[in-house]
Amino acid sequence: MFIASCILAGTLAAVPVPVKQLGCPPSDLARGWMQEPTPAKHGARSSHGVLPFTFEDGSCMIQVEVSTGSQLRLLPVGIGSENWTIHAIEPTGQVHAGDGPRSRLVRGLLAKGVDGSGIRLDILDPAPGTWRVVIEGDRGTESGQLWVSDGNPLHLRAWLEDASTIIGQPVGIGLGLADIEHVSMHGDLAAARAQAGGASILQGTARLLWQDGSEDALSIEGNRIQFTPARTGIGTVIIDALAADGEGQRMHRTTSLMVSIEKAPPLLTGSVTLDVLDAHRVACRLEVIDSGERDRVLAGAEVWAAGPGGVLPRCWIGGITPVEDGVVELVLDTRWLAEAGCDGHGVELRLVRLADVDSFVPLDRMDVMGLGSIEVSRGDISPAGRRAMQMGAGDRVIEVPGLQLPERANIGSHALMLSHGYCSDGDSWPPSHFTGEVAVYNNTEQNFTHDEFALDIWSWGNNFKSYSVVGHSQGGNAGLHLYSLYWSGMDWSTGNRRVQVLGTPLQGTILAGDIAALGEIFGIQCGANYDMTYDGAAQWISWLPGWARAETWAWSTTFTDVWWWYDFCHVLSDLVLWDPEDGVVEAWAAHLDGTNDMGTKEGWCHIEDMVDPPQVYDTARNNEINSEGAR
Amino acid sequence: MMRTSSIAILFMATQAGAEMHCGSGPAAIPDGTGSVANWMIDVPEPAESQVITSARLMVDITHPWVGDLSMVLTAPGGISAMLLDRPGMPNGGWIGAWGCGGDNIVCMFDDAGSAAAEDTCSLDEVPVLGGNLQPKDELTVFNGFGPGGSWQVMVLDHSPIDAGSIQQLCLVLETAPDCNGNGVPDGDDIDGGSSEDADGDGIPDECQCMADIDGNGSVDVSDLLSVIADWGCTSGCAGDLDGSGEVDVTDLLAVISSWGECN
Repeated sequence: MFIASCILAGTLAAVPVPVKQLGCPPSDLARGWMQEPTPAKHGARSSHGVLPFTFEDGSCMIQVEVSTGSQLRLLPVGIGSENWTIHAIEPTGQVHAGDGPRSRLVRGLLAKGVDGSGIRLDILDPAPGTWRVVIEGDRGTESGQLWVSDGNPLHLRAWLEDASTIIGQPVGIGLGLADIEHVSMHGDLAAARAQAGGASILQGTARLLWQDGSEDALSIEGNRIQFTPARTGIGTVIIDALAADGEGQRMHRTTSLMVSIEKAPPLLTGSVTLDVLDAHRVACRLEVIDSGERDRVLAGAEVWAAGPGGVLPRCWIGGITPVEDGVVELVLDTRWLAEAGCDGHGVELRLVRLADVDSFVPLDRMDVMGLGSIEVSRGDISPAGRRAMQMGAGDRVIEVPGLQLPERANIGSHALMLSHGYCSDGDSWPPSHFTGEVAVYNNTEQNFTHDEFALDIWSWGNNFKSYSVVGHSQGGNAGLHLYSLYWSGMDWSTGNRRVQVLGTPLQGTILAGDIAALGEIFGIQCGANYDMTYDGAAQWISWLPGWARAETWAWSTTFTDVWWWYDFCHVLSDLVLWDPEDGVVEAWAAHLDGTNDMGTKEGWCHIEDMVDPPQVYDTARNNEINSEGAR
Repeated sequence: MMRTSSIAILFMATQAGAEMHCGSGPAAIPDGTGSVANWMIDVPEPAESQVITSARLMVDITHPWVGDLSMVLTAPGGISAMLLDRPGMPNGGWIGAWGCGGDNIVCMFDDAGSAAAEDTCSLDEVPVLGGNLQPKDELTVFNGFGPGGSWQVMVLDHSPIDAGSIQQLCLVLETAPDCNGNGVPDGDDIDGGSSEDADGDGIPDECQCMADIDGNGSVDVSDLLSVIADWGCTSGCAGDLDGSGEVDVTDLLAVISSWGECN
């Protein structure tokens, strides 16, 4: 076995990185891929509340509105909370203070880097009404938060009205209640249905919490929030609401919607010029008014053309492209048109869009840009030709400033690259579970965007002739991102599987927003990560072509489910994640349409110090990953 | 079978008049040890003085990562040409930091090739270097030298991990006579005006004993008498040695200046 660790001793310089010029068949579009998502179908949601409290002489009493649900979970969080005691008094007067016929005290580590554990009081079949919760702590303790989940399936949703969040431009956020079965429905529709059922937001407050800890108060008007950001960066809009369901039962809901406020974008003017690159390809040079804030963007468009069946989409083209001389470039391989039986007349770019390469936040859009007539390349399409249609000819390079290019640390082997996830302490895949040439990517305590993470792997990957990525958590996002958008040693790997991911938030995790607001578990040391929110993930996914998805194998896990109680992986994330989940990622979100769904296995959690063992320690799965992984 | 067929196709593509000489040597290419695989190709000395007018090399090598390989062709006189120098390196863009990772070389290195071998790479094509490809150094460097002797092809695998072997290496040479040994084909000498060809037989006059009219191997009194006998002749005259159309004193002087045994 050859094990190499990531040695990042190198120079900081602008490094040329080859990017793929993506091409996708119309069947990808028919499946809903490569299209900008509707933000009102994503956003954030919660069926829990977070109630801040302040101790007076070491204790406090909090009134908690509890609706009808199967289980009430009460988790006080704060400095020293492992030493606190909690009593919950039902409206009937019954007191719950520990293990009992209907109650259970559970403990669990709140997060890596946090001393001590949380103590959670779970109560079965809680009576609806106003509960009183008494928390007693150390006299030195000043404040904390009480996380409450009552099991009522009514959620508070928050969503961006437009995902394009730009400095100096109004950001609109919709709010609404939704039954659990409607949380993926358009927010307005779900809210209307809930409202028709009698549910309502009784009162609410909102604030925008920036990563540096500063806050902006926001006002809620008519179930809507609007603000105009004066700064860039990642912030979290935290909405605390008191809501009522159709039966008038009241509940607390706290929803955290992360936003990434972007610098001024390049703006499409609508002007496009064509340049024949070679026998097959035409460069579509889209004129932009360059704000000068970015040297590269994601650009993409559907290509429509007249032909059999009328004017129809014939392919999608896009990828990362430099912003140079007031132009961003899309490259059309005209074999797509020939394959569809088109003669090159009536060609249009539709749904043209630009996005930020790190946050995937849409920067600008244009509905239609006419290209006129294009000479179409005909002839049989060889395997090499097919690949060129999908990935380009390898002749586009971007300069990435600040990329750390390491000294070569080995002799150019073909490796299975094991990558940890977000903000890892380095304890991830056990190398001893793998045989042959294994490369252990190890760059700990980092808060990378998917693109930064992918480029970091790319950079270190230059030590190897070829490799596939075995990614845990965000390491999986990075591997898929790298394979989709950049040329790398992954393209030279041979074997069955190029991207194997485990516990990867392919469709995001609600935890990204919740824990960013709390500042714990999910990056207590590393900060907020927008790409792993539902919104960020939805935007990211819209740039992943079908051919890359098809080369991705995804596993998820969940906790061991016992029949006599509600189980979980993590004492806190259990309150915000839907089952099945691994303590960080919900199973549904760890899989993605078009990838190979390897199922959800019980008995394993996301990382160590959760209830079940870390999922990366599953020998059976690791054997399969090892034998099937391309090298 | 496919491989033989590929070589055969390449050979079929050689021009008429070319001669192919295949070599021998170790099949295995030392894998990243710093040692080279040396193949020798023996080309017999031609019966008459010849010079190379075109050199090409047919290569059939199996290797899973051609970006590891360098190849040098050296002529018997020591002149060398780099054929391949780790294609795709040092900065192969999309190809990556380790050069072209494609499999196998079944190609003809030919200055007139359709593409430069150094710049040819594909994720899908096998062999990745196929057809007629331009070598890194032009093979015209061998033109004008004699073909005979032992040619050497050195194949170096710079990097371990991926190992390969030589299936066959064949030199395809086109030659032309060079009777005066000046390194220029006779025809070029004549066309270029550096040699006369009074009798139009394609052989420079300096290579021929023109004054030996009776062909007895020496210029002697009988040839002198032939000139005198033809004196003043203006048509079909054997004594018109300079082809001026008239037998005159110039022809007489040519006999005198060439007096003796022909070289």
